[in-house]
Amino acid sequence: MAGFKEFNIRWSMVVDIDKCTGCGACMTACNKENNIAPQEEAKTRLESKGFPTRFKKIEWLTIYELSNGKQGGDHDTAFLPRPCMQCGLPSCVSVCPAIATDKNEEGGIVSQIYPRCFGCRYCMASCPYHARVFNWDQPIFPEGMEKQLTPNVSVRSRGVVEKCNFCHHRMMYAKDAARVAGEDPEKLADGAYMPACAEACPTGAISFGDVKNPEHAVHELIKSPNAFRLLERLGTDPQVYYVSTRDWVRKQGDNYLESEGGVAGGNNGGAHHG
Amino acid sequence: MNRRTFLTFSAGATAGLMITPIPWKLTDDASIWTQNWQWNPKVPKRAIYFAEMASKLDPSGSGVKIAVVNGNAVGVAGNVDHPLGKGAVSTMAAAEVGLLHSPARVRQPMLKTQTGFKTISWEEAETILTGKLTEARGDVAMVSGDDTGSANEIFAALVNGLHGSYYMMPGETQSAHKALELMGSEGRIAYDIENADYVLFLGADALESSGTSVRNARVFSETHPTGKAATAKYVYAGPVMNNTAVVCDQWIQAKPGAAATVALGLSRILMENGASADAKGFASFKQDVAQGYAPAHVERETGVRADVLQKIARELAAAKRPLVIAGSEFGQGAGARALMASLGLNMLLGQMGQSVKIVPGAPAVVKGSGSESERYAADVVPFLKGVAEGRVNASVLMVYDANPAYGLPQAEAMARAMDKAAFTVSFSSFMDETAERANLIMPNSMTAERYDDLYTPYGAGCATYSVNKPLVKSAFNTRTIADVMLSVASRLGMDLGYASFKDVLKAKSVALGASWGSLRQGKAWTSASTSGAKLNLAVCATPAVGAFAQGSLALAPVVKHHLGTATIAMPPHSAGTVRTSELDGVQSVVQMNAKTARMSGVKAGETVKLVGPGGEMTAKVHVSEKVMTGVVAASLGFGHTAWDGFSKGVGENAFKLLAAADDPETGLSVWSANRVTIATA
Repeated sequence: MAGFKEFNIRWSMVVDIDKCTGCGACMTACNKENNIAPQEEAKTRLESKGFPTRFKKIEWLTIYELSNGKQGGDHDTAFLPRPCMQCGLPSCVSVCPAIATDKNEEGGIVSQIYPRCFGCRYCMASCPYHARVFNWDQPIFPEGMEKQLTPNVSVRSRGVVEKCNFCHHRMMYAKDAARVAGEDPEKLADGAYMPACAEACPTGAISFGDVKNPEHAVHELIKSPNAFRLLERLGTDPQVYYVSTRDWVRKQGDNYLESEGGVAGGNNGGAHHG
Repeated sequence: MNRRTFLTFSAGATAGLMITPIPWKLTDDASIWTQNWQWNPKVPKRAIYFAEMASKLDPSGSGVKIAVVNGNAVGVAGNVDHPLGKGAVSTMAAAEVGLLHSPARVRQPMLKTQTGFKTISWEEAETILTGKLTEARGDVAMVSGDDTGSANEIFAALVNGLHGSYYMMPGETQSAHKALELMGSEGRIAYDIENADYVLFLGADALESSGTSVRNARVFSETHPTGKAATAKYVYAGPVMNNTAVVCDQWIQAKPGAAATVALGLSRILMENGASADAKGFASFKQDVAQGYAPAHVERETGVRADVLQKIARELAAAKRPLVIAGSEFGQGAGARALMASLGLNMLLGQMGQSVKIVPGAPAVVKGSGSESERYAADVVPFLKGVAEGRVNASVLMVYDANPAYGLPQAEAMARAMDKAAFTVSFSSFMDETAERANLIMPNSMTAERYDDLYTPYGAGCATYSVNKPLVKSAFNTRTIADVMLSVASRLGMDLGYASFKDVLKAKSVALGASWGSLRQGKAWTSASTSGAKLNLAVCATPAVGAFAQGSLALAPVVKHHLGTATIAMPPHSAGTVRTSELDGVQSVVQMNAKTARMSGVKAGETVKLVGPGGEMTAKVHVSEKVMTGVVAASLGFGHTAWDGFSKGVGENAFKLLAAADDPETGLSVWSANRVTIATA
């Protein structure tokens, strides 16, 4: 498969799974930031009448609960927040017939252009991370809540696929602020651009920055032998990295078979695979 | 047309269709124009500005920045300068903005009639309330759930002026006041977690729902840098691997309500190894602890293995700045004993004045309001039980910033108390269970819409003070209740000394020595001053109140703020965060480990009935090894009968199972160690 464009900036998220409490602050902050209409959970579930609710649920960031499967004192649990992986080789981009999703901007964020999307959902079928969601229904905001929409993200209508874009608008704000301050907008300082989830996280489990910039903390974090990416062997080259000192967590990150040995670490520098 | 012409035409048409952009253009246009309906919500096109606010719905009092567009609050961002927020945004703070337009908001004052609620004006509401208070003099009661606000002073002064009774909702702040009172001091307990190198949480869910949890979580983050070695060890002891335990360096399994016994067990080991405290009552404390709390006894009572207890004691003794924080696993019902025992342990570790400090309470500025300790003195649970059973009269019962009809043990009896009181007034911003039962609802404006303040929540590192001002226009016809009550006091002929709540806040800032201008800009005031009072250790070793009821399993209620708090139901923007291990469809889920399930004869996915001393509930079983053997864990936050479509009718209220036991020595009832029976439904 031909490689996608190489970028000088590679915005990346590093999630320290050992610090995630699963509190959900990132999800709530994401929902508010990105104008995701609150869904009446009970009603949705009841009305779905057997239609799996998870297919109707609109969320850009999902927290999965992991277990090492052991009983008693040996048991261990971890939480894994999963935004869009912003893959280096995004399978969604190559299947989109409408060029509604693309990876063509400095920073490597996979775009989702809602007015172009006509809802074929090929991208959803191709995404191995289930990071994309489809609007089966028109978004309904409780009366008055539409006044609380942020100006940054348009509301998606029925029939459109949507996904996390690392709060792209925050990158634009950070670049604007850099320009005003007379700085180079292509060399943002560490922390100048933070998605809402990373900012909210009370335990600081989510780090964010440009892994190609040595002045950003994530540049070093991804070199850790404890760093890994989800389903790395598929060769999608995600821009979301995870860190855990626990071997069983790293193994679950890539569907290792019981017969397989330990996880190969330290091969996370953004090189393309496959 | 012959065959050749037909094939030529077909091939030409196919090639033409392949080359022409028309179908693609039409598809593109169709997708654009079908997203352009006028009923699609449009986003505003105005500039955003940010203003500081301290969240009043988040019990940890975290400071955030509110994004405002065209007079509407549209978002929340972290505020790195706030001592309790430190740049993070908690689930409740993130959801608070969305609640401004919650379908559950009460939009104007309402009076209950034979046919339901009718809307009335504020003038009418004040007149009715003034009339009722005049008639009821001496038989007035008020319950407040605001642990940090000066509004309490206005309410308490008014109630005291009418010779009524004032109650605070039970929680960690009340436990702390009672513990300090029994130990001969007063003020607020502060934990210097920033400088601690070993932190032991006994029950207290300090990274999610206990104390200044957002600040604690931020400090945890700093001491556990990603990719580097941790600079402090965090240990959690409790029955459930909750949001705190899951990231702590060690989880010790301990039965619900075990905090006091574990603290005293650790104290005994430390004293046997020579630890002492230069404090009044030490000899008596040492003797009482030596007579009980041997490691084997502690193991029997709490499930904490004796060797683990010994190891923790050694680690605490070896640490440079250890800190022990104790409390109820779900933030209420621990009484005062757990806190007293942990203060004793901290004193043995030489940490009083170091990791643990007593900071002065907020200076009273409204005459007749009494002291903070006086407001926290009475226990609301037996009072409401008395009202429910008809033993106690309440001609007027006022409820502020609390939902006692939902968030207290024996929730059904508490709800009955609202019905039994002759005239109940709710000041809730939302149509909650208490408001639904009230005779009169006078809706309070929300945090971003009103003046309010926030003084040193329980467990803050030092004295802190923040002032909120109206940042957005009121979404509905609501008012600041502190102002309304000043007006009511005036109508009753009482002079509380202030014309507006804003003046009270100004006076408070002067009394604290803080700059009003800076506070009004949203900057938090902090002070390093501490109280030098010596605590009396003699009362710290009294045995904890035993488990309530005789069920086969210990009940561990679990609080997670994405499901709401005892006061606020699950906010709309958090509705999608519910997991299948917490809720299945609209049915509550309880968790137990595989061994407990086998012992109880139930299987994963089965519907069971739990019967506790307070009531019963049905739920599905989720088998999880995150719960210790012999314990069933139930999430609080479900089972609302009021509110809105996001929370009403979703699951069952686990508060129903709980019942409070009396503890006459401390004067606070206890419900952190309830037992339940379980059977297949």
